[in-house]
Amino acid sequence: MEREEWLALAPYGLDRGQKRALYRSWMARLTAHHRQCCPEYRRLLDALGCPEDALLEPEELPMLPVSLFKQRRLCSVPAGEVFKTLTSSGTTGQQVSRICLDARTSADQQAVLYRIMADRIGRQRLPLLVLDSKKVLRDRAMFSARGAGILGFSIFGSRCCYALDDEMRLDLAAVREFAQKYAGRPMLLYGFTYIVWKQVLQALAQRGERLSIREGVLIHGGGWKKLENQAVGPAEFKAQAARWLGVRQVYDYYGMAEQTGCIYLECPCGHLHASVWSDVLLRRPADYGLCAPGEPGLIQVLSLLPWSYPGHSLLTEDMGVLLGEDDCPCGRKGKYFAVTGRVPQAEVRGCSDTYEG
Amino acid sequence: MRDELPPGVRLLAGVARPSAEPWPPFAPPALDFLSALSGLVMARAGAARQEELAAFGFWCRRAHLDALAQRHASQRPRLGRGLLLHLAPSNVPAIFGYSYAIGLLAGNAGIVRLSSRRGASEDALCEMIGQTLDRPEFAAVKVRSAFVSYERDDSITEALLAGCDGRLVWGGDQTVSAVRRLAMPPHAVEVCFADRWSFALLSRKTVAGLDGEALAGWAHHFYNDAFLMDQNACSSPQIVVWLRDGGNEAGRRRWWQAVAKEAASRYPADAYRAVRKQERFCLAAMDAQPAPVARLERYGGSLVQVARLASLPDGPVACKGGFGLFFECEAERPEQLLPMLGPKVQTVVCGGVEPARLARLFAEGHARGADRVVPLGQALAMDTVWDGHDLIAELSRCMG
Repeated sequence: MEREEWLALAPYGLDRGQKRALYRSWMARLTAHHRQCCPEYRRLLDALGCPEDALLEPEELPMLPVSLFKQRRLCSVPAGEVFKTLTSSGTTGQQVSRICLDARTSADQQAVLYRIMADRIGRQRLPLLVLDSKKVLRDRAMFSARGAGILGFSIFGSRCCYALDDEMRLDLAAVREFAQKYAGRPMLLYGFTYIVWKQVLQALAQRGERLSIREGVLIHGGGWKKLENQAVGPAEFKAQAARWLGVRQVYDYYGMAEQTGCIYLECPCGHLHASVWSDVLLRRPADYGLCAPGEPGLIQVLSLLPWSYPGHSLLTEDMGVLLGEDDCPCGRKGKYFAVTGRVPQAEVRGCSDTYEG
Repeated sequence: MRDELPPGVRLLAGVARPSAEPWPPFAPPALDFLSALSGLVMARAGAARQEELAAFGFWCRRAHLDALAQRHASQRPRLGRGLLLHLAPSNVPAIFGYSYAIGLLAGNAGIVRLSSRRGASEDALCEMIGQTLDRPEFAAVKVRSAFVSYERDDSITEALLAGCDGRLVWGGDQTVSAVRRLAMPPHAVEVCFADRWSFALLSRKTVAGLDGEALAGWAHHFYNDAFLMDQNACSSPQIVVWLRDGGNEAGRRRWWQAVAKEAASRYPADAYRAVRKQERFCLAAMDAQPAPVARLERYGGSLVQVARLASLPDGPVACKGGFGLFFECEAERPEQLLPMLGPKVQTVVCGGVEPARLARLFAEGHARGADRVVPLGQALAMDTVWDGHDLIAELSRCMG
């Protein structure tokens, strides 16, 4: 299958056998491309004893820990073709990932995001309520996965309203006006999970202000880590979103700056789904062997999109569990899974550290 | 006196303003105090299975202190420098205890700064030290001791340094550079412990000749050298160099299998360590440092990973294994190691090679690095001679 063909596939249209055939050939092409064009990647594969012309099964592919993109700039296209470097949203003081994007990879990311979203909201553009501040886009220092997410989703918006002002406070008047203007019509709401919870839902709750965006579809991502301390889970999040925003369709997604576009969107049954453009494998920490379904493990992600950087097979630092394949009651083909959290940071010993703390 | 500590500084044990009066090295009251502490720590840490603390307790036992006193006996009269500031790391349990004890043995009073991120075992040790200091018979040691904690604050460190006659700085290059910028009285001395790395030299012939039981014993020692500190300590071996003095490939594999077996029963192979190990391997392979990685072998699942270097490094290298990732290469003769002995090399752990002979050979070869040449199992054993410093001599002054 050629690139134009798989770009045009139905997002959840391939079953296990078909997807495996596609990945067998395309992962080999991507591996060969990155090996040829990214010297660091080539040295790694040489060290791993990976034969040049190996036709590997998807689960045999070498995987790069995502954290490498924080430590090295890994690029598989000539420097002149890199037109954007995406950075991940690291917390203060941490190093951020730097992902080199060329026109092709970036366009594919947009196209795939569009196709995945169209599966949920249809192909028409909708009024878009961004549950964040416009400042995220203006401020270069803040431009990160959050900004990229907003920009990525903005292509689905016919009209756009930002719910938070520059100080990250809820602009209730603007939101109310926007909701009233498009009342009764489908609307898209988008934001980072933690910000939606903290700056929108809690702000509405504090004011006792209930909105009624009943035809709204809320898409949120970015992880639950910051909400874990507050013991907020998906059910509570959905209940509060229904209560304060009035939205009845709330979908989480799993994604990362290192593989933008091919997000894992939650289906109406509450499962995260791999589209045809990406896949997940669950790995046992002890030996990186494959987990049995239901067994928690490290999430490895495969994607057909990364052409400008060697990110087609990545080992994340997220833990998850595979729930099934091709048989979700929602009817979508492919794997579905749940993310259970980040790899807990262990107390590591060593000499090199002291004075900071 | 408590009120004289700078704001933000918490006194954990001892007194706020320690007396700076110098004592002779190995003064009886210091020995009495440390051996009493030894008894308490060994009893408690043994029961709580805190290996590092138990080792510290064992180190402070009377017989060992007496042996050290003999080794450091001086012809001329010696006295401690006065008051030392000890800056200890947060993630090597008991280092602060060793630093304080060595300062005390050299005849000094001490202010020990513990990291605010210290772990539970540091707290446990600090409490035991405090308890022992509080015993009436150790009042003379107590007035020479302060254990404090504060958030990183240069002005506090500088205020403490103003009254000191020396400082011991642990924690590697960054800490050393940061602390070096802080002023000290001109007469004061300092001992700084920069980032170092270590490797092991194993005789292929000797390893091949070990029976199953002996091999398991060697693997046990090697585990202690490498895994106890997640292979992150300066003294933990990162590279295993095989001396090609006989033996064969099968013996090499048998060795790593034995190490993996030992690690399987003792090492916490959690997801975090697994990911960090994978990351370090990828970085080493991508950067081709210290030499191109020719292949990767795994033993015991991914517990032990051995990255085979294409050649013996022919220049000074800095090397980052970790969590069970080792680099491996071969040498025909020990002399071939000389080019890689840059100033960053600390410990050479020997298996089947006589350490004293090897140390002589390195000295004759004018090696820039390698300060410790020790038998297998002794990589982490603290000593009053460390990183090439005779700490008793440097932390005391001689008269005459």
